[in-house]
Amino acid sequence: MRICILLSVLLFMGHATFCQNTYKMGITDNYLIKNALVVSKPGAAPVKQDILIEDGIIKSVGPNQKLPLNTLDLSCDSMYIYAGFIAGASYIGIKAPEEKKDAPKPPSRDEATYEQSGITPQVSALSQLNASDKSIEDFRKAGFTVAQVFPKGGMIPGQSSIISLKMAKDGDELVIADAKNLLSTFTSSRLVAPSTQIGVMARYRNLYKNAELADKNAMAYKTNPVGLKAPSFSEEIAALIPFQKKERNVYFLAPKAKDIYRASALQKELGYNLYLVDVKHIGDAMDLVKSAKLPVLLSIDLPEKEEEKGGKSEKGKKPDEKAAEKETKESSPELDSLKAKKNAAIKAYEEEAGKLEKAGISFTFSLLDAKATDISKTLMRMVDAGLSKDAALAALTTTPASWLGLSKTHGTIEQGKVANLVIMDKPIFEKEGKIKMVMIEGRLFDGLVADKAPAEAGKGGSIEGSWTYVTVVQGGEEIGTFKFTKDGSSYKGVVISDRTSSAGSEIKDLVFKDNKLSGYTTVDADGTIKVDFNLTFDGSKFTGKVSVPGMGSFDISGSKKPDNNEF
Amino acid sequence: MMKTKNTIYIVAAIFLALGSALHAQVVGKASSGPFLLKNAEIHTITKGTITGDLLVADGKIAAVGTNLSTPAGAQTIDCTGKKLYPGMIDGGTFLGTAEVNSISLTIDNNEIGNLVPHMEALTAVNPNAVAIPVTRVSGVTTVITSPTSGLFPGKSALINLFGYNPEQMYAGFKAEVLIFPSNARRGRFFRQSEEEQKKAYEKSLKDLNDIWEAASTYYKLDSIAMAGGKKFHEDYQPEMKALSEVVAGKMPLLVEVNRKEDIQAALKWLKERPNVKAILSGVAEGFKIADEIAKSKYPAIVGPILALPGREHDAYDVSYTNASVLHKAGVKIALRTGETENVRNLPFHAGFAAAYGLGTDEAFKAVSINPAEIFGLEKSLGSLEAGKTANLFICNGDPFEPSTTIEQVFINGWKIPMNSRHTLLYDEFLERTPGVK
Amino acid sequence: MNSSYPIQTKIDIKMKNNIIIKISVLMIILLFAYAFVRAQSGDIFIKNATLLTVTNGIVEQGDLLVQGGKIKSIGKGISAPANVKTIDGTGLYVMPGIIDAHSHIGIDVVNEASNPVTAEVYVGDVIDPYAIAVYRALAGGVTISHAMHGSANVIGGQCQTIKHRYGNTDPSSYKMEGAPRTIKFALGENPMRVHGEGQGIVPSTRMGVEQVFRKAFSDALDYKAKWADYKSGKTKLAPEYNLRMETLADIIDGKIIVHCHSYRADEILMLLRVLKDFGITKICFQHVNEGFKVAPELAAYGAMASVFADWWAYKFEVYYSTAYNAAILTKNGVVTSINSDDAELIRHLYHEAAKTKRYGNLTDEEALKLITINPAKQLGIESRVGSLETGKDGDLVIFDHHPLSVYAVPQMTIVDGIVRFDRKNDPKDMRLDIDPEEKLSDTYIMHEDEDRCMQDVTEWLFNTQNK
Repeated sequence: MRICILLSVLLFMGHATFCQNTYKMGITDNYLIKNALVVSKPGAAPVKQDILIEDGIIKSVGPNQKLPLNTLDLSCDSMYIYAGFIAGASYIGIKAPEEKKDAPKPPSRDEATYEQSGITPQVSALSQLNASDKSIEDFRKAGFTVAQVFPKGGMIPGQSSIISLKMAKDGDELVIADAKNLLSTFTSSRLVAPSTQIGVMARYRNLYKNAELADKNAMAYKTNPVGLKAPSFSEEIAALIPFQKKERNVYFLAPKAKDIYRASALQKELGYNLYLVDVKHIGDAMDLVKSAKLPVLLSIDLPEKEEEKGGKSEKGKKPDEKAAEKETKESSPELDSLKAKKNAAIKAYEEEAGKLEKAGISFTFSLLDAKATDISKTLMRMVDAGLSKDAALAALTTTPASWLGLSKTHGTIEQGKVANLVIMDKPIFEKEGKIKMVMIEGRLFDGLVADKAPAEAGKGGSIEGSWTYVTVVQGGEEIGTFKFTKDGSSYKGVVISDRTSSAGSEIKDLVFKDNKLSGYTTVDADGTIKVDFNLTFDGSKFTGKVSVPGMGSFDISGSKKPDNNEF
Repeated sequence: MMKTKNTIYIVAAIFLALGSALHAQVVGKASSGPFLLKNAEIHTITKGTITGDLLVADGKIAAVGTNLSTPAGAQTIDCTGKKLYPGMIDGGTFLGTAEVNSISLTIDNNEIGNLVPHMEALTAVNPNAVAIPVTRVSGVTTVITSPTSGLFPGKSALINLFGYNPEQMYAGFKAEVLIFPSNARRGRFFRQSEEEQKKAYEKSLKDLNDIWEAASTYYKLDSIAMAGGKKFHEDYQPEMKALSEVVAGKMPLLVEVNRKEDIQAALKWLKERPNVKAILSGVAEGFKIADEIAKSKYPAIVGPILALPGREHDAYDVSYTNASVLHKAGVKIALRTGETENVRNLPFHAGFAAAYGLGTDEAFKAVSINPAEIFGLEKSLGSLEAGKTANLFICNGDPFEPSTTIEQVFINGWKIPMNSRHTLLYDEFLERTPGVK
Repeated sequence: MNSSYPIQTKIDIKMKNNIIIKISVLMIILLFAYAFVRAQSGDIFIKNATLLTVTNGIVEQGDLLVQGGKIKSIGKGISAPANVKTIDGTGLYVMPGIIDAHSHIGIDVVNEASNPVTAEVYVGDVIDPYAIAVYRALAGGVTISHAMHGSANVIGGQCQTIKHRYGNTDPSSYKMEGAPRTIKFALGENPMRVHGEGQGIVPSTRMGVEQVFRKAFSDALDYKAKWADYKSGKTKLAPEYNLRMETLADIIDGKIIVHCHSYRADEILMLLRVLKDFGITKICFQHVNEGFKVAPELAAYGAMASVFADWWAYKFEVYYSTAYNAAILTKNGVVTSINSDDAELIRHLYHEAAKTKRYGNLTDEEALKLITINPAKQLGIESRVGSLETGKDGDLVIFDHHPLSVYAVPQMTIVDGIVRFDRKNDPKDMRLDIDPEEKLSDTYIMHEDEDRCMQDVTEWLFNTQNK
């Protein structure tokens, strides 16, 4: 339970430099971790050992090692050390491309480009990777050191990369390997074809069949082009060929049993290598998953338990949470039966991991939907519901390492492997156990997740950030966003709604004092209309009036958007 | 022989062509009697079932008894082996104010605005709406036709399904409609978020209370002014005027409410306003709180019966059994279809309620004497008794059975032509001439 | 605050836990029941019931044995084999499982409304085995329904004939093995509204609808020819694969039965001309409210008709309708069925069929055919289902009264010899999939046009119209 003072100082320094967002930090990357309880791999017992790390690599693991020069002594008495976690699938560091609002409309909904239809199999996650994205830090704090990341998009978002969750200046530096697994979904486009899931299913058939034909035609043309017109080329179709030929894997987003059946039915027709990703509830599809030997990436996002809702402070509750609480206090046979069924359903979700283990189905975790701060709690719930701790650890370390071809370098604590470690104050999956530090490639990071309350805005605090608002104007509700940025000691602001451009309309004469904000903006509608704002901020909420000369004044209210909304 | 037959066909064809050219809704005219319906099985509903005669004269049931003598000029109709029932009453429809549902310009029951209690459904009833003859030949003689949408969409009216102007059709009962605020989600494609829905719900509750408070104030000031022989308010305020009648308890309030929680809210709301003469309408989830409704003493117009349960976890048959559960809990019930063009299915809605626990007798009461009582018209409608309006029909079997033929309908004593667009098209097209070649 | 409050809460929680435990035990029992139900076919013996065979008259006090999911024998004095579940049918009526030739239950998507021609899509891809609507249909005696694509497009998607094997959660278990492929067409207002009015593309008139068909089929013939050239070696590079064209070619080749949403007499005749020109013969008109006007033409072409019992006037193209439609069509020799197109109506098709007794004086047998053997013919499954005959599937409904009586209450519905609905023994809550995030206070749904032809189209209309 004790960490040497030196370490604390180091961490403090690391943190300080981190905040300044500089890359190089610390003095050395060579450590001797002393007297730690090392769990070298899933199933292994904790053994009191020292770990010597040089230049990001585990140099040796064993008792009573000598401290070499240029190496920091890290006393980790009674701390437990595990191999760094590996995310089987995630969007860590991924920033979705912004919607092109001014893109030309297709001539008809049926004639959209591949891109407009959300079919972008050629896109690499790398193109959307942002090394300074906050999610990298968040998931690192949860123990993740390496992740397979997928791009965001529509029906077929694109291909994955494997990244290290270290600090870097740009995305390229994070990349360990280009996994090039293909994320596929049943997502339909809202405005163009395919606009529903039946359209999506039909489109998959066209795409894979044409990938097969494109490959055939290319071969035929290569063999003897005489007298032939060159076959037409499509980047998207070409990108699908390795998947159609089973050279690489298709990760199909399949949260529920129904999706699993559908992805599997399509696989039987089209013959790709199927991985089920972000699985939440397999239910009766377990037999299918077992017999077809489908690898599963289980979502670390369980439905919220009833008692968790009650745990929040009264002030932090949303109105509907209060209603939900009131509802749990009410009682009737009907409600009790519904509650019992709902609890049974929640339990079934919690038990999926344990069931997979018992069925002998290989699985790891998907973080596509996960919140970094909930991960340890969620894993605990799975363990409580029957998942063995060894299997849970394997799903976090050795299994993803093997799926991603990283077994030689990652997943266990062994000599020669990358120094990716999770340092905990208690054995993993034990109640109240905390990740104290995470090491990635020999560099130490603070693992503690601060329990601090979200920054109090207003009340002398900052209003920086995004705020959603609702106003009722002449019988209709208008919803939009305010964005405030600090400009020296004052603020700048924009209002963004359906009536403004996507960049928003500037708030002029913005004054913020004593929790009160005033300013105005102009809207173009049959001439320029001036709209005045007078808002009063209280914590993460505000209320006030919007007035339009000649139309009157209307109520407006809103709340702060969570800071982590961006990923 | 052949020739005669052809002549008949030609005459019939010309007649039909003429009929459709004039867009008439029926062929033939109603006749006024008097009529002596002899030797029928008379289901009086209130006074048992007797075999005897029934005399229709001057729009009324002049007498019910055995061996009635034939008055001068009366047409005798032999009803041996036939049954007589009072005309069925549908407690909630849009009949007469809607012609083609998808064409908004033919819909006259949903005025713009949340607060339009001064709208009168009766004003917009088209006596020649094509659905009216289609409905009445099924034995449904009388319906509530309601305005809809918004909070206070206007006044509904009870109409008889025969007449050439709304006054002739008006059956003596009106009620202000309140579509009680609901927090229900509307189907799978409901576009509001939970928060938006909640907000909208709270706003409409607040609107209701604000409006009510204003109407109460209006009523108070108006009564004082009237007592002083003066006119209160220079401004024309028809909304407040209309609602003040409800506040005063002079005009009944038809409260459209379906979801359990909404019914509870409505009952609580009404409890705080004891003057209001309320009738619940819809009441789809009444079965969940039947005792509470019974305790409130408000009558309930239940329906449609042929409807899906409102919740996935509900038993499949709750809409079928709802009326029976409410009746058994002691609620005075009537039935409604909530229909426009298919109000003719009222006997089938009643039949399902009967099959699922209500029983045939109670089910028939729920479409005859019960609604009459709920509307305060028990002296003129709802049963076959001397002195009542002659709304009745002759049939050859159980009126709820689809296989039964409704042979003759009387409304306000008028013997109605037993045809409609549906029968006329049947007559023309069963054996179309020319056929294929 | 009230000082007794915390104590009260404690007691409440205790009591609640007890209830929850009891309910959980009940649920475990139910889960076992389901595991049992999940078998694909079963044996059942019904004795001493009135058997309405539909095709071979009525057997009073008859016995019926289903073995291995098939009807093994029908008649009098059949002795029950050992270990077969026996139902005393005294006073009860048994008829073949009801078949609905037009519904949209049990599927997650109805319309892919992005183009006037979407022959490539297939609702069989999105079967929803958890749909409570399927259980409710079983409670109305319906054992088979034709889960259709909607009517947004002139040539919509392919449909799926499903068996109501509620309790199975594998979507493929719903597909009726060997049922012919079917596809949805649509004429008139719906495609005109969605594409013409909504998107400003053809068709916005019934003239346009005809030309959409003619172009689609002509394109399909060209496509077929290109592939024939490639397959014969005449061309060396494969043409682009197009599932839409493949499907249209299959229609021309008679591999798919056409089910066409239609109302007006003129448009019905138009489609008959188009089909004739492309040599397509398998056609069943759906809704076909003005079918009665062209009944002789339908009969002459061999076209079939699946109608509502009495729906009309909900839009202009059904203003000139008659509830006597089914009777006129039947008496003119058109194979006619009565369908639901609606999750509510599907629960009482036996009652809808009974209305033909009032509207056109059909006999009991004629009326029952409208919901059994006739829809079976329209779906091409009449050799398997639609009547009580030995060798046919053990799909049955047991009623307490004659099914054409308004007092008839289905007591038990059997699919492939397995009881899927049992009025006396089923629990109230029959959901198979419970949303762990459902809001308990928010479970009431006002039903508005769900599970109907124009489902999923609302989204488009909202985007394109100010309605």
